[in-house]
Amino acid sequence: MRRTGHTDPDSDIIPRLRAGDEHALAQLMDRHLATIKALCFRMLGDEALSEDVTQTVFLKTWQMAPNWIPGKAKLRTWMCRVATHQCLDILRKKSPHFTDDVPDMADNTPNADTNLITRERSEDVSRAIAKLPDTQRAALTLCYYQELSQREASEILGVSEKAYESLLSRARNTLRGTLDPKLLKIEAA
Amino acid sequence: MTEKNSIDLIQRYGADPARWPEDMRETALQILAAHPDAAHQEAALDAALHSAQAPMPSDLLRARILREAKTTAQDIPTALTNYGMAANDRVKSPFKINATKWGAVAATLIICGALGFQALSPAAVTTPVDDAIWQEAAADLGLTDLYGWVEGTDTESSTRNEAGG
Repeated sequence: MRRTGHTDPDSDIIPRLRAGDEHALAQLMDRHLATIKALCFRMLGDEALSEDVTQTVFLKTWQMAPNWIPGKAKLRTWMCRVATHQCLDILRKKSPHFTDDVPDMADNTPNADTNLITRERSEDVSRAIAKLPDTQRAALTLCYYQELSQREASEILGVSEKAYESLLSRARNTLRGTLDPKLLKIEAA
Repeated sequence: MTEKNSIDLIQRYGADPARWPEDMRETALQILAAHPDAAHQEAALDAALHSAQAPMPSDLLRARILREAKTTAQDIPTALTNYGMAANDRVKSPFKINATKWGAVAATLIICGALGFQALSPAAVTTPVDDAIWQEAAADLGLTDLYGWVEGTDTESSTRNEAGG
């Protein structure tokens, strides 16, 4: 579900964060740890590094909370911005560290063969996304996986909405050309 | 919106209308109803994207963050010195020192005193939310008397008198 509107879903936590309530930080993690970490992982392609950046994002949020003014932005959008910029900084400073080793995910279902195919498909797609240029990957991640609005995502990237849409178009065009056509047909079935 | 615009829209955002810009959604839906093939192609890519799930955070990550937060100082609220500037605007606090929250309260009160407290009116530079936080911080330190001085009253007895006691 795309997040629109001006109310901040985290407005209940913010006063407690400002007051230094560690339970509020734990609650914030309940809500956003997985999505922030997923954003970082898709940007960096390295699980350990993505967890380091995720830790930095939450600690920065904790640190600056006393100066947060409600109503100016959503807290989650701010956190996504910090995460995206941190990831882009890391990518600029070093060669991309993308491995072909996508971490195994637990498989507790009885249909192991089907799940193996699904997992391989997932890895193929992850590899294709990892090969996108950094800003295209960021645009795609913010739109598709973070479900941010056009306005929020373009502000995070510091580009115009038109430039953001151009990044999205190029990212999807590249993926259509990179992914195995059979993969796309199978997915559509 | 033209047919080409609608197709461009789904090629950018995918086939799920929930991801389309809100102001274009309704018109695009009407136009694309006549072009199911374009939507189908993008839906296939959407499904592929959906299959690429990121690994969940480790339990260790959560524990690390909570542990580090215990030793990470929160920024000093800048309301008394720089009203209106928010962390949302990526303001870098000049007071990033390794101090506890209560040490930060004491430091800011000392600054107020050095600047000539009579010239400052906390009510003019703080919001009700900031006032509540300062009250709580001061009370926790047992600084009611000092906070009363900050507010312009000298002693607890003065406070009681003004309250009509």
